[in-house]
Amino acid sequence: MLKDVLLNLGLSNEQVEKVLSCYILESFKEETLVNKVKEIFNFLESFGYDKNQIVKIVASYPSIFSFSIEKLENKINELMEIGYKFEEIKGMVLSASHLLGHGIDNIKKKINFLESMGYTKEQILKITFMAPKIYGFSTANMSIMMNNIMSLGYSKKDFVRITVLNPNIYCYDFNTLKTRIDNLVELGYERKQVLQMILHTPQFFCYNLSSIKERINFLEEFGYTKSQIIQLTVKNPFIFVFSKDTFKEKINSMKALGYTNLQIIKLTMEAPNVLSLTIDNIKKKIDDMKVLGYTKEQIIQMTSKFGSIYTYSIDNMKKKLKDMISLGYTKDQVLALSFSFPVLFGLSFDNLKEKIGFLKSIGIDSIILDYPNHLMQSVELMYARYKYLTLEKEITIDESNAYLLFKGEKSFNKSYGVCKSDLLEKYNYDIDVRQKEKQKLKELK
Amino acid sequence: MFELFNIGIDEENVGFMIESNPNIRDMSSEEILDRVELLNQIGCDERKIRNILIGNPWYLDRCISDVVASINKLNELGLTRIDLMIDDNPMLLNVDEFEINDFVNSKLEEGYDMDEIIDMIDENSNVIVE
Repeated sequence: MLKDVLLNLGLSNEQVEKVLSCYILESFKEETLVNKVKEIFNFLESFGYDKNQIVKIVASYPSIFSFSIEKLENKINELMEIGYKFEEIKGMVLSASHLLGHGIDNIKKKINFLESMGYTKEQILKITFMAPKIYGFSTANMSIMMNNIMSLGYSKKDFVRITVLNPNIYCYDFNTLKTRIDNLVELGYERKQVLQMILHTPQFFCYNLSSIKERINFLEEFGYTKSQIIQLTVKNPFIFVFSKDTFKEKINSMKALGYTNLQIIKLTMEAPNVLSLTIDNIKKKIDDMKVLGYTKEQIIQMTSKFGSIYTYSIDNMKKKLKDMISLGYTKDQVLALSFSFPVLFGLSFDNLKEKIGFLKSIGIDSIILDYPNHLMQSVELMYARYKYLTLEKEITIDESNAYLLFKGEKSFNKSYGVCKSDLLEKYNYDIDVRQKEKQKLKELK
Repeated sequence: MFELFNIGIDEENVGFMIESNPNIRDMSSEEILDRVELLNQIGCDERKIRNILIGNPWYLDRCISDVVASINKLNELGLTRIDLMIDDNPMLLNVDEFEINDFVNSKLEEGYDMDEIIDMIDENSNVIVE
C-alpha cells in the first residue's frame, strides 16, 4: 500500500526502495506511514515546492516521514530565529534536506565553532546558505579542512575569504584540490600564481582541468602568447568562468567595432575588467566619447592603450576634460593630449593641477602637449631638479632643455652626481611650496 | 565606504570611484583601512592617498600581499620613493611582481642593461604594462 502511494506521488521504483529500506521508518505501522507521507507531501506543497522538488527532498532524506508537522514547523522557525530568511531555508532544504534532521543545538554549536574559526555571523549565514551541507560536517573535519588549506601557504584570514566566496570547498576532497593545483603547475603556472588565483577567485579551485585547457587553447588560437595567457588569467581567473562561446562572441563583437586582434589583446591585458562589460555597454561608451569630441578611430586607439577608460563614467571623463580646460588649455589641446596620453583620465585633478601649475610657474607648461608622459613624474622631483639645475648648475630651464627635469634617476645621477633622495630632501616641495601656500591661505582668512 | 569620506575624498569622486569599481560598495571598513594603511606605510600622506584612490579605485580590492610583493620588487630593483611613483601613476598598484619581472627580463633580452631598465621605469612607470 505504502509503495503504491509513493509511486503515485511520483517517486521512482529506486527511490521507493530507498524510502522503504530506511530503518527509522521500520518502527511505524504501514497505515501510519501512509498518512504521514501524505501529510508531509501536503506540508511541503504548502511551502511552495513543486512535485519534482518534493520528490527530490523526500528521496534524499526519507527520515523526513518520521517527523511530525509540528517538529518541522518548529525547525523552520528556529532556523529563521538564527537569521535565515524563509526563502533561504526553502533553498537550503531543497539542496540539503538532511538539514531538517540536525538538532538546533547542534546547528548553534556549529555556528559558534565557525565563529571561532574567524567567520562573522553574516558570513556564516552566507556560507551555510550556499552550502548547507556544512552543518553535516563535524567540527573536527572543519578544522582539518582549514589546516589542510592553510598548509598550502594561506593564512587563516585567506581561508575565511576563500570559503566565504566558495563554501563548497568544504565538500571537496583535499587531495583532489591538491591535484588540481599540481595540474595547473604542469600547465605552466607557478605554484605561487595558482595559490593567488584561488585566493582571488576561489571558484577556480573547483574547475576541471579539461575546461581550463579548452579556454587556454582558445586564447592561444586567438593570438595571446603563453606568457600573456598566464599573466591575464593569474590576475583575472574569472576569465575561466566564461564559456568558450561567450568569450568568442565578446571578442568577435569587439572586432566588429574596429579592434584588431592585437588591440584586443593589448586592451584586455591592461584592463581585463572590460571582458566583464556587455558589448552594449562598450558601444554606449564609444557613442558617449564621440559626443565628447573624439572620433571612433581615436577611441579605438585610446582604449587599446588604456582600456580602463571603459570603466570610467562619462561624467567623470567630462569633468576631467573640463578640469584640464580650466588649467588654461583649449578644448582641442585637451582632446589631443588625452588622445595621445589617455592615462590622463586615471590621474586626479589635484595631482594634475599641481604639476601643470608648477610647469606654468616656470614657463614650460606647453611641453606636456608634446610630451604628455612627463605628467608621470612627480611635482616634488620636477621642483627639486629645477631648483638644483637653476641654483647650483646655473642652467636656465626652458622648453629646449626641459627634458633635463624628466630624465631617469640613473642617468640624472650619472650626469650630475646627485641622487633623487638628496635632491628631494634639499629642495622640498612640500615645505617650500605647499606649506607656504597653506600659511598664506591661513593669513588671508 | 565612509572611510573614503574620512580621508577627504568628496562625494562626487567617491561616486566616480564606485562607478568604476562597484565592488567598493561591498567592502568592509577593515578592508578599506588595511589598504589605506599600506599606502601610509609606503610613505604616502593623506593628499597622496586621496589622489591614488581617486585615480585607481581598483586598488581597493587588490590582494594586499600581491601589492606588497610588487612594491618589494620595485625596491629591490633600486627604485626609490615609491610613494611618489604611485602618486604619479596610481595604476602601478595593479601591477603584479611577475609583470615587473617579465618586463625586466624582456628588456634584458632586448639588450638593455639594468640601469637603463630602471631608468625606463623611473621616467614612466607605465612602461611595465604598455
